Amino acid sequence: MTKTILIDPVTRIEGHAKITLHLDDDGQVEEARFHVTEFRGFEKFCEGRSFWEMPGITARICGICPVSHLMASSKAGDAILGVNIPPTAAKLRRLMNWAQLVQSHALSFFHLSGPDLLLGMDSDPAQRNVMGLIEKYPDVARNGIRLRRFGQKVIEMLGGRSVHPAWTVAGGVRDPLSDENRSKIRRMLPEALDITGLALDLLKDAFDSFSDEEAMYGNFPSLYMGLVTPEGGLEHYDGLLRVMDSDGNVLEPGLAPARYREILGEATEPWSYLKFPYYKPAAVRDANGSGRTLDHYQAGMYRVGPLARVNVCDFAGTPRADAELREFRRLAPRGRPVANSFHYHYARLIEILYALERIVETMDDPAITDKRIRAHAEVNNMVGVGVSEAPRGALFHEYHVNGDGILQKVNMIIATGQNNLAMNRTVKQIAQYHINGGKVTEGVLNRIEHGIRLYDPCLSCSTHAVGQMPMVVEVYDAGGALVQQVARG
Amino acid sequence: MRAALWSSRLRVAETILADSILVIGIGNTLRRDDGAGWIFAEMLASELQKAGQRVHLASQHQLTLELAEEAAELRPSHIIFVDASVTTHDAALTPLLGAAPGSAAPVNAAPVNAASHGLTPAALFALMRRLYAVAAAGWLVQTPAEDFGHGEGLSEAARHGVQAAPRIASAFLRLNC
Repeated sequence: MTKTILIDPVTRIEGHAKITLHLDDDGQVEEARFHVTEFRGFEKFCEGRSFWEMPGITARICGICPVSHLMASSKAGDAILGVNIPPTAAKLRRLMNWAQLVQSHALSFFHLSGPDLLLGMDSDPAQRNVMGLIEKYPDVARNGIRLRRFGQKVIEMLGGRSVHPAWTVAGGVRDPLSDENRSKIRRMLPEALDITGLALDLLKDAFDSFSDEEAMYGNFPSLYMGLVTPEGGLEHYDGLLRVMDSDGNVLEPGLAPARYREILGEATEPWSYLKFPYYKPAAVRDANGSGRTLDHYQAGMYRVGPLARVNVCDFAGTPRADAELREFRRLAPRGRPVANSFHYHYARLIEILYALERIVETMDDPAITDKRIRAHAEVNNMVGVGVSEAPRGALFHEYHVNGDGILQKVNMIIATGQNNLAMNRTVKQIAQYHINGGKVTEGVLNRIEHGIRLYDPCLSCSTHAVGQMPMVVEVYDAGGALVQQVARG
Repeated sequence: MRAALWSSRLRVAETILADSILVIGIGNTLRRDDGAGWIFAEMLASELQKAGQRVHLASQHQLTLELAEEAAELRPSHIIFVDASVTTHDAALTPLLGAAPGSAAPVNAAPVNAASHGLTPAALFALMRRLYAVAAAGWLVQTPAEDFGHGEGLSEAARHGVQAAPRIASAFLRLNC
């Protein structure tokens, strides 16, 4: 007799989701599914709008990472115009993108995953949230707020507001950086760097308490994909797509991002609104040779985001981030990528460090306050692809327009979707480790949720939805009878 | 007045607002009645200014953690959150728990999503108290809403609701000034 365990909804993520665990007759986890249950459909309703509007429209997809959509959308617009934007405009976009990385990663580490890491997976669920964190570790909470605020302030200085800034446009950016704001950013940087150092210490101290999690939280072979510079360095705004396998072999050393369709496919399943992107060359095609992939697309599972980015790059490119990267790589056998998704936390902090160091460099660049920041042109190409690295991974915007710049077709591949296969695998791995005989405790449920939170999924972006609710877990037998219920909230 | 207030944003460490009122409007004017929070906050701030109060208006798409620190640095005497609500039929002013100035900091034990959309006025206010020892009294104004679809403009119920701003301003002044 099979049973199903339902976790609905998943908390401390951005968006609506539930998890079902399917048990076999012995009460062992046979299958696990991470269901995304909301749908917004930006791709469809953007058709008929002008591509000029797209940065402003798509930034509204999400309140956490609007900057990522601004970047990808503006770059798609650049491609439609057929322009190289002024160098200062590119530097300013990078600056905003790094600021976004800092604020988003700080929120994820300190306030979304912090309660689990500092209060413990089995702590009282009524306290295992940001308020509980504030109660017990107010200094940590304040530091997290300070670091996130740094990123938000930089975004606000550039874009006029920290959420949904309408600042980047096709061809460049709207406003330059003032000398006054450059000075302000400079003054804020030392504290931000100090807090990041403290966060790294905090995480490394926590490693000893989470040896189980280190060993089996998303610890499986997969591919990794991220942008790198032409020299192989860590990259978040431009560059080339690199794909690496679980042995450290580079499968795609540097594909032009506009050619992403050559390597990425998107599968769907009836039980989730979130698509399942996969690496096409690795996916097994069906025996009839029809070209249609069956569920074997799972062979093309790849991970994106901080863990993938620091795995695929040859080096970071800044002193402190490179030092951390060397330490990070000792977590895996020599030459191999770090496979455990628990180390998304570590990778996130390395990226914060990298972003802050890059911002320090940028503030010393005399050209950063240049006023030449926008290229002007009309529609010169009917298709434009824009790619950037969002905090959660590579983000693709592809626009097809007519001669007037009106959108005929839109395709967006969002970071969270690209981690969909890996999130499902992670949930299954954690559930199989912790659930025996069908007994489910609150601590186990939280561990399963934490497995999802490692990827810091933004379901608002990936389906394009918002919200969160209390959690209810129900166990049903094959006949549909409720045999166990665990509720929280 | 409208333009001046509308463009007003929190400018931390540039302005100290001791003995003043911080009005935080929450919403999105592109999601129909969700914009009622901003509109009501703007009208409320205007009414309070007319009555001689020093007012700072912050229009927010969502409440974020860093807003706690920014508000603390402004040091207002009162913080009024204004939000649209489908459960409210008539705009109302209610004190937030533990809002008496200088009272001990209560921490709301209810689960809170730190991500943007999940932070409530009560949670943010509790956070201000606990982390930053904010002494200001906290207030929540909920104004009626029924349509959160895409688009601009308010429903009839929401339009009617925001007309209560002068009444709420008077009630606030009676209680506090």
